[in-house]
Amino acid sequence: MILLATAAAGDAGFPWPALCLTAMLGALLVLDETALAQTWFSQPLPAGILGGLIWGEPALGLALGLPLQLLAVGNLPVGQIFAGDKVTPLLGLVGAATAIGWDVSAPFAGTGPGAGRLGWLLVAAALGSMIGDGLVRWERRLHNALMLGGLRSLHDGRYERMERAHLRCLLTTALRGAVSTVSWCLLAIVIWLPLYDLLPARLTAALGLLPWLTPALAIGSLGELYGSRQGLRWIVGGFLVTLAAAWALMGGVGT
Amino acid sequence: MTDAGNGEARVVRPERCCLWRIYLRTLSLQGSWNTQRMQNLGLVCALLPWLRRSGLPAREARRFARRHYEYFNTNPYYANLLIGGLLRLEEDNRRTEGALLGTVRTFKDSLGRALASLGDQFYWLGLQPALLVVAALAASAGSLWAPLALVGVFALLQLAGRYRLLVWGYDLGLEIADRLASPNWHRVIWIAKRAGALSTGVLAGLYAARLEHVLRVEEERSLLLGTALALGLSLAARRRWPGESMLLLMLPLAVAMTYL
Repeated sequence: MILLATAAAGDAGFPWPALCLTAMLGALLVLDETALAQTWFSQPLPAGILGGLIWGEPALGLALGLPLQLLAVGNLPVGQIFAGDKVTPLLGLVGAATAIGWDVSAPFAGTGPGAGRLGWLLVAAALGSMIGDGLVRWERRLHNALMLGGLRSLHDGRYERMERAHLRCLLTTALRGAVSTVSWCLLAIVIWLPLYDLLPARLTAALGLLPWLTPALAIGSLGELYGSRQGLRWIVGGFLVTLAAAWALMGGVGT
Repeated sequence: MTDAGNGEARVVRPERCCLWRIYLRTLSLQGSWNTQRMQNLGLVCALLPWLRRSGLPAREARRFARRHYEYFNTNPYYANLLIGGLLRLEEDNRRTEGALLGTVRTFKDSLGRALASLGDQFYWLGLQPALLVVAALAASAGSLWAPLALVGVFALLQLAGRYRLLVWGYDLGLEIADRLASPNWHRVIWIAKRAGALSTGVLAGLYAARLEHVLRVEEERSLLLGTALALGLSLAARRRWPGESMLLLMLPLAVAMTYL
C-alpha cells in the first residue's frame, strides 16, 4: 500500500483530502452495513452517490452504484454464506476514476467505449467484493476471540472489559473500511484503470455489454424471490402496466 | 425512575438518560457479531447501563451478565422490543428476588426467534428489495437526490422506531408475546412483499422499454441473447448465489456474444 501511495503521490495534483474523506466515509459505511445503525446508506447506490459527491462527480458514483445495487438487490442477508464487501471497492473505484478523469457513460445509455469502461469498473468492484469477503470472515474470527476474552468479566465482575472488547470490534470494522477503501483507490489508479488501455478490442466490447446485464440479473433473482403464484401476478401486473404506460405516454415503447 | 402512567397498572420506567444510553448501545447490537454466540456481547453491552443503576449485589450482577452472555440472535430492527421487555422482566425479577429467572430465559429465547423471523420477512424479504428497487428506478431516470432522500427517510424512521420499540417493550413486558399474535404483523409483511414484487415488475417493464430502444438504435442484437442468458442464470442459480459471481460469470458469455 505504501508503494501504491508513493506511485500515486507522483502526481503533484493528487487530491489527498478527498481520499482522506473517502476513507472516513468508507469506515462509516462499513460500520453501517452490519455493525452500527444499519441505515442502508451503505447500500451500493447511496454509497456510490455519496462517494461521488466527495470527489465532485456524483453522476459517476451513480453510474457505478446503480448496476452494483441491482446485483445486490436480490442477495439478502438472511442465512447468507457470502457476505462480500460491496462498499469499499465501490468507494475506492469512484475516487480512482474521478482522480484520473475517466470518462464513464451513464448506465444503460448505450454500448460504446464509456460503457466498456463502466464494465471494467464493475468487474473490479465484483472482484473487490469477493476478496473483501475473506477479510469479513477474518474479522468475525477476531470477534469470536474478543468475545471469548470478555468471559473473564463474568468471573471478576469488571464489565468494562466487555465494553472494551465490543469497542475494539467496532474499531476493527471501521479500520477495515478505511484501509480497504484507500487500498482499492490506489490500486485502481496505479494498476487496474491503466490496464484497460491494454485490453483487446473484443474484451472492451464485451465489457460494454456487462452493465446492461445487471437489470436482468436483478429481475431474475427478485423473480425467484417473489416467484410464488401470487407474487408472480404482481410482477407481471407491474410489467404490463409499465409497458402500457410507456406506450401511451411516449407513443411507443422505448422512445 | 419515571412514571409512564398510561394504564391501570402504572409502569415505572428507568430514567430517560438511562433509556437513551441503552438505546444508543442497541444501535451497535451487531457491532461484535460473532459466529459462536452472534449478538451476545452487543446485548450485554446494551444492558450494562441498567445493570449499573440497578444496585444488584455483585454476585447477582455476575449471574445477570452470565445469562445474557449466552447465544443470542434476533433481527436488529425489532431487537429493541425484546430488549425493552427483557429490562422490564429483569426489573421485576430483581424486585421478586429471582422468582422470574426461568421466565426471563424462555422470554428471551422464544421472542428472539419470533422477532428474527418477523423482522427478516418484513425488512429483508419485503421492504429492502422494494425500497432499493424504487431508488434504483429513480436513479436510472437520472435523479441523484431521490435515492438519497428515500434511504434518508427510511433511516430516520427506523432510528426513531427503534427508540419507540424500546420504550414500548419496557411498558408491555410479558405482554409482548400476546401482541405478537396480532395479524397486523403478517398484514404488513404481505404488503411489503407485494410492493417488492410490483416494483420488480416495473423494473422489468422499464428495462424492456430501454432495451427495445437500444436494439432499434444501435442494432446490438447480442444484448437480447445476453439478457435472456442473465435472466435464466439468475433464476436457475437461486438467490444464494451472490450477484458478484453471476456478473463475473457473464463476462466470458459477453465475449462470446460479441462474435454474434
